[in-house]
Amino acid sequence: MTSLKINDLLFLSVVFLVGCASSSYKVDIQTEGRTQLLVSSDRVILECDYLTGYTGDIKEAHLFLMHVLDESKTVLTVSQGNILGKEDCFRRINKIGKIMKSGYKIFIGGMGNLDKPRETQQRSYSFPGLGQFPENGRALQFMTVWNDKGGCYNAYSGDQKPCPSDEFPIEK
Amino acid sequence: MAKKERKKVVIVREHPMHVPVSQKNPTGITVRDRHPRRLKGTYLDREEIESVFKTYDRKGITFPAPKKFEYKNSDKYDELIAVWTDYFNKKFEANPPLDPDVVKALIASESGFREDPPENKIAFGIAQITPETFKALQDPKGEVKDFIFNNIRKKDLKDPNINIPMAVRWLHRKKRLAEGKLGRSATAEEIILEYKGLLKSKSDEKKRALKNFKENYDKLKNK
Repeated sequence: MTSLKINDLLFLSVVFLVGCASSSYKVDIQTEGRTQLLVSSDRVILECDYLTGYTGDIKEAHLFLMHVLDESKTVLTVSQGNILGKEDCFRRINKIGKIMKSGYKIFIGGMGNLDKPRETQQRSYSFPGLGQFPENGRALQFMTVWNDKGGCYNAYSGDQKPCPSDEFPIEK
Repeated sequence: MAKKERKKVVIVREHPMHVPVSQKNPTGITVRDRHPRRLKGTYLDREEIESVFKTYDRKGITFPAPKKFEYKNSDKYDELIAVWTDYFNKKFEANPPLDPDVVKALIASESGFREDPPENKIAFGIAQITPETFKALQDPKGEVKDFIFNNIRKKDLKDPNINIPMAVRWLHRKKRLAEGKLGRSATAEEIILEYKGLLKSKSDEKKRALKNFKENYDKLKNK
């Protein structure tokens, strides 16, 4: 397994654990096409990945990704479906980072489900205080992240109210 | 025998034209200089888009797969997708034709079926059309000069009735480019990689950038 070097993670931002009593991960609720995760912030890494070899017309194209450490010590990916400019991408990291830091319970809403068997990948991520773990090939499309203090961010409408809305939260 | 190329533009002679009465034009008539005019059938403007959609023969056209997603409005635009995919498939005699599920999966990954997602500042509407693409789609001398859009305003991109036909037209352009680069028919994934500007990228990120589209497309195809 090859691990990512610091250089490879030029735009990687790690959200540190603040005020969480213990590290936790849970699939809060899942339907056929939507998944709601309940995690502690130490299990989430936010990344703006620069797209090399990109030939489209977005300047400094980036991909926004959230890497989440699951209960089997493997990493699933929640990613934005469309390519973003550098500024748009880092604004997400900034705003979501604040939601992670200020809440105790962090909910992540993504389209898709986690039914696919885990397939360990070469890429791995280092979670401060927890260790280094491989990607498992599972993925969700990022929709919304919110916390128990009212902080919320939607992939398409930002922090506009109401948030969360539409697809999330999933009714129990 | 070589295919006869149809004329797309005619030159209109200098002619009188009615204008609002003003100090400059007290008679309400001015002289319009000689100018080029694109012929009907080589462009779409707002009125033409509305008229085509309203009167389009829907018999036998392929709709994208319904009830596969849990996005709030995931099936709301199926008719628009079906009509415009069929329209451009016929217009460009596409072989193989563009699959309407490619369009639907693209929209799912680009906007989650939001008509005007405000958080991304550099792309617009349900298919997230960028300003450069918007410009290219209306440029009579540009890369899609054989069939362009006319008099579409940037604010019109918030309207899926406008945004979807523009995105489908652009996908056809990207399909053709991908086929040229590959020297064969392009798969759904390759068309989208070209659409996203990543077909020739050798980086690992292109797989990641395609992931959401692929998951959505596979879902529509029951894979």
